[in-house]
Amino acid sequence: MILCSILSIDFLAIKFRRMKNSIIKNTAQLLKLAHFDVLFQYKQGFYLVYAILTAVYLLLLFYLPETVRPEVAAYLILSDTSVLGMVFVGALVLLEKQQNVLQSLFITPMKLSTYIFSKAISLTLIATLVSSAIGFIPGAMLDRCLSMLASVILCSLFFTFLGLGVSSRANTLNEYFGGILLAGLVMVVPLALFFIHPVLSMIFPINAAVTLLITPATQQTLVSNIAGISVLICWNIVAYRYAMSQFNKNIIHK
Amino acid sequence: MIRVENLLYSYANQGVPALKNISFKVNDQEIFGFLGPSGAGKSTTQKVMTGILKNYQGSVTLKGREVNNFNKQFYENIGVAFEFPNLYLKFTALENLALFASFYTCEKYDFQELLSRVGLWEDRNLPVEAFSKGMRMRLNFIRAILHKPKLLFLDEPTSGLDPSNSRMLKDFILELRDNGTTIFLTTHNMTDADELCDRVAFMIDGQLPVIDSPEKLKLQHGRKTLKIRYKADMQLETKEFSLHGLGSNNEFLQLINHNEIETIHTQEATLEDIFLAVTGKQLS
Repeated sequence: MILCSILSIDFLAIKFRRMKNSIIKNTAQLLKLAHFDVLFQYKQGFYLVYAILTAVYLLLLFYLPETVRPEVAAYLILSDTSVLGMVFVGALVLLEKQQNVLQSLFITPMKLSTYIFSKAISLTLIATLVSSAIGFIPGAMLDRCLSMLASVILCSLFFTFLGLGVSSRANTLNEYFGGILLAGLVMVVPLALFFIHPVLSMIFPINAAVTLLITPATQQTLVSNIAGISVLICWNIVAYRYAMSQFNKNIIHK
Repeated sequence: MIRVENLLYSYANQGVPALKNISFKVNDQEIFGFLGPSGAGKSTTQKVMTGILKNYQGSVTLKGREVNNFNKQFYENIGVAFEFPNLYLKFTALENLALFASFYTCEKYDFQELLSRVGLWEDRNLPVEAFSKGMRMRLNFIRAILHKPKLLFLDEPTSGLDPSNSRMLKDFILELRDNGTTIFLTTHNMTDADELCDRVAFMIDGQLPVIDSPEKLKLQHGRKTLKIRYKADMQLETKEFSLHGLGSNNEFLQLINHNEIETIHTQEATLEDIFLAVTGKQLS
């Protein structure tokens, strides 16, 4: 009995150690790849485009009256993380296709999930930096910085996953834009529901993201924030699975 | 190292199978050449062997394990250099190597050693977009071998290289073989196949009608004759003799003793001739 207990504890300890090593190894690989993705984005001029856009957004916000600043900031942030995020991830994948690197990436020990997360993390990093610059200017969203960051990060991850799925099918920018236009419409249409039934509309990702962004801190509740974040997490899981299946089908096992 | 048995593969949208029950084996430390025209099924075979295409029938084993059952660790042991360079154009040569090296946990070559060996060390900090096609091919090759793979797939490795770099790369490939790497070489280039391969397989319409060493094939399909070009009365003449009994052939002995010889060649077949004879098709 005692021997059995010792053996099972040993077995669990070995399993735990293996799992820990695997997590450390995968995380290290993910961070390395994300580093190269940031470098790739920088060298392709993405950071320059983002810097120019951020400067334009900040100028625009400075000249707006403080009463409308939070709403305009919210929609700028949302368009930045969703539309720009999708455009940039599509451009990234198309550039990789054009340079023939995808086929060589997937015949290495690197996992597809590492590739997908690396793209999502690197683009979310830049979206968060830009959104923080916009959101943290006086009179914008300083009062709700935590819900804003949660919205930006989850929204950016979601649209990057979605963009990855669509871009795996496209061979040209036109094909890609056709795909994201359709996906964008499907995502944006539920916004109208916000004016009909605000609570029910929260089940859609864009509505949950908007609610987290525009609700002033004084009107936020813990429940509504957890609900919004949970909805976005669920949609992220769906979008991630979509990206994985589309990449497997259209790129790896084509 | 590799054993392929009755491999059958059909693409979803095509009625005719791309690979029709092909069987072959590749021994350890062997350079195995896969020769055939475009569309013959060479790339499909390579995709199955590298685990990209899964839904095949038959058996493809590496070191006794079915390719379908391999996980991502499988790629620690294989390297693939495609016909067209797969490199990030905005990255420098060093950045490209560092990116791909980051995927492997096994022992790797020193970048300086590799880059110097293929003559790219001086250009290590240039973006690949500034490289010529030959430079990209050389970088593509070392990218495929940087993790010291036990099994290496090469597709037209000397394409776009000048003669001296082509020689350098071929010597490098032979050295890898001698140091224990098994190499699967896909090519149209008969000179490369002849110089590098221990055995070749001809692929045509998804089938492999011939598998043998280049030397044996050339002997089997060649004519056992000797062709001499010589000068007689200031004119260039050609004469062919059977190799059988050549040492006692008076006409031959007279000719070589009393004429100025320009060239002497035995008439073994080239791989190109044999491919045409066996398959009825040109390679390129």
